[in-house]
Amino acid sequence: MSLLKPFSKLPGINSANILLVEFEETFQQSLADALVEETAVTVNVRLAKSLPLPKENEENRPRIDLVVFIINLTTELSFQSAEASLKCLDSGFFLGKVCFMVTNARNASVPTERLDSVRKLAASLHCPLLFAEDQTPAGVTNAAERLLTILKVTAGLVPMTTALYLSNLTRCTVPPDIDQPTFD
Amino acid sequence: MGDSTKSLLQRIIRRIPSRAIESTLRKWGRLTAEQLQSIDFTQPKWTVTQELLDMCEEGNWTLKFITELEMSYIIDNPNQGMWYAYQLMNPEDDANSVELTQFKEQFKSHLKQLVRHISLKMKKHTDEAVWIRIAWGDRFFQPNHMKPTYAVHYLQTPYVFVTSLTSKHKPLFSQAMTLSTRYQAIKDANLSGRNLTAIRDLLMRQFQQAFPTKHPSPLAERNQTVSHPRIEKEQDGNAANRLELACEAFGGGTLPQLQSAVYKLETKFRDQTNKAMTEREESFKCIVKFASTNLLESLRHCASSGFASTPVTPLLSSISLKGKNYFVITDNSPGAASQPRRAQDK
Amino acid sequence: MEGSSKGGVLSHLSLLEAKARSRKTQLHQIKELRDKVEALRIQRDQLRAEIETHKILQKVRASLDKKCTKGGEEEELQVKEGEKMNEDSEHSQLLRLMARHTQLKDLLHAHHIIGGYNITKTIQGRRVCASLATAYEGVYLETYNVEFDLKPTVRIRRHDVPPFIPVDSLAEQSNMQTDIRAFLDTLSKYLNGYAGRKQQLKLVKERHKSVEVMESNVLCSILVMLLTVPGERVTVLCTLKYTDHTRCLPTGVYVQCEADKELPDSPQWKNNCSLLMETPVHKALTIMRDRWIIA
Repeated sequence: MSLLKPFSKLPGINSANILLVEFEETFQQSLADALVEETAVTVNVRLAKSLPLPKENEENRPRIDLVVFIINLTTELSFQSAEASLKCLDSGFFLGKVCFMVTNARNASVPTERLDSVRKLAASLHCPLLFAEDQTPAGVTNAAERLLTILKVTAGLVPMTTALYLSNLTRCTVPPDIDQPTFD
Repeated sequence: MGDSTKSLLQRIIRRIPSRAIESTLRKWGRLTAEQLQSIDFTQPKWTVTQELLDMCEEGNWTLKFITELEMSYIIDNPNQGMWYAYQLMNPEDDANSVELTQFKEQFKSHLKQLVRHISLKMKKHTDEAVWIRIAWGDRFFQPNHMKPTYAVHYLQTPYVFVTSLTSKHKPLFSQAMTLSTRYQAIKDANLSGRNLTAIRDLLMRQFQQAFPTKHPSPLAERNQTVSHPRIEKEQDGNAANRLELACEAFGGGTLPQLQSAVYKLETKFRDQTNKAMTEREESFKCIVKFASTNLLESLRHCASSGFASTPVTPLLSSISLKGKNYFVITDNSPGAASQPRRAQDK
Repeated sequence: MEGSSKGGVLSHLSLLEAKARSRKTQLHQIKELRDKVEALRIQRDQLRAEIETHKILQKVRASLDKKCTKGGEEEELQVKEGEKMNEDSEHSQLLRLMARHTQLKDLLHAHHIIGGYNITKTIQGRRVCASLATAYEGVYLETYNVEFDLKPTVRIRRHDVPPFIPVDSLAEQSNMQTDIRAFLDTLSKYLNGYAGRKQQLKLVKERHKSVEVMESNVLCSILVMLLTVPGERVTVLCTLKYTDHTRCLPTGVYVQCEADKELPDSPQWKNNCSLLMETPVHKALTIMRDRWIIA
């Protein structure tokens, strides 16, 4: 299994590269379309269903600045696939270059345990957890905006701050009562 | 007789939604233009029914007229009950030359020999289908028009589609059908569904199947979405490949609307963690049922989006490949090679 | 983000953000348009170059075709000449190969047209898929496909041939393990026969409005028509039976007339019957109409 490494390649000038990993391959497309709208920096988007990435693309794949795992809460498979993919990332990524994005969290049919397990996963890896609305265009642009903010930092385009510094502020923490039974 | 005619008419009108009453009556063609004009179709349904009942009394409509009305409505709206497919087997040499009039006569005479009181009605629809309506009676009772059996058969094809046929009348029907179509046997095709067109298309192979060809398939052309130069798919080939495999297994284009697929498992229980069940001698029996408003479409989507592994397991692809949606899986012949048969009870 | 400032500070902020974004894109649009102009220019040049190559290719192709038709010593002479001709062009070797490629492609196409089957290997040669095209009077009709499993034995895996064509019994009769082609030939005959009859029926319905088609079936193996004799207003019931399902011509023609029992035996109608036996039904009806036999 080939690990994806964060620092094995040189960065490009004024460019940022983001990798979107989504099992369903639906939201990532619209999100990518919104991401490349950004004009201040050149944003390159790579889309993947799961990791590891195919070896053939190794050559022309730029250095990845941010890996986003999109998890659709309505299916268990989405979470499992993301969990399996995490193993193919070099540990260097976890210094602020990974984030989780959850969709369909408001769906009533989603069991609350699933969200809890995603939160636990994000917290254990010290990664930020974002929530996104994938059905409306406004929700997509919003999600893209938030990702861009993180991406610019992780790509080193924002002076005076680093990915590690940002992740200390934004990483997900598990509320202490998560394992307590709820009575409502 | 008059009472049963009226109650049948009442029953039929009750089944027809009020917006369709006018068009159905027009199609029926037994009402004169004045009669049609005199009915106000904007009224509530029971008033319309009452008016029709009065007309029925005045005009002295026979049962035949009323059954015609029912038949024309059912032909236009066949998706009301469960349709079961049967397959005729071992054709005689002259099976291919059976023609409509001959078939009609034969079927009638064969059935009348078997059952004394029976009411039969046959009609050829525009798409070459022969529609048969059978109201069954027996030695002592007049035919029951309230629960007629409908059968659809395309001459020269080995398939018959039947709805509301009781197990009591099934042997009679089968015999008459095999004899009049010049076949030797009939068997359950293990396919059923609410949508008649869907199960017909599935068996008659009238849905678009995807075959590998040298010509660029419309599939590939359709999928070439223009993408942004800065967006790159890492596993692009996979998706296209999955879609191709899914289409090969279930068909391309719009798929027949099948509602369910049932797998009856009679296999040994295999799970290393559950010793008690695994070590049992007798087989573990269970029924797995997949249900959806459009099952094949859902399965294809599952396979193309990667939820189900590709290449699709023969168990699933057999649905469209063999035109069946009831399978019995046993240990001695695993997979799709099993001998599927439908349970006797309905 | 309903675009109203009533929603509070946050929505107002996001509104401002959206505005800023759109301003940025405007500036960018001009640059993008410039880029597009440049890209289109490049594309135009490319197309021009392609046309140029195509022209040369056609020239080479023509000389190649000539070579094929002439034989023997002359051929060698031609080759030398051809080489001389192309020496000035840089990629003569490549061009010649390309021309040869197109030639072979055309040959394949021709083979397909004269009744060859398109066979595609799938899953590393474990399966093949044959597609059988049907045509009638120079018009391509449906294409049917049959997929075979090659191992362990040659076996039909799936097909989209309609159920009234006895694929399975045809497969049983022919020796598929050694001669798949014979099976495909028979199947193709059946399919072409069916497609032809179906097309004839369609043409009859389209072109002969006065002819009433009383009965037909899915296999199109029987056709009952009601013909009207002009003037006398006599109707004739004409039945065509196609017992040989591989052919488009009927094997039996029966004529009935309610009003005039003698009519079928009249020499004129005997003539008509033989006409119907020998010519496709839609053409026969046209001839009969032209002779004022039917309306």
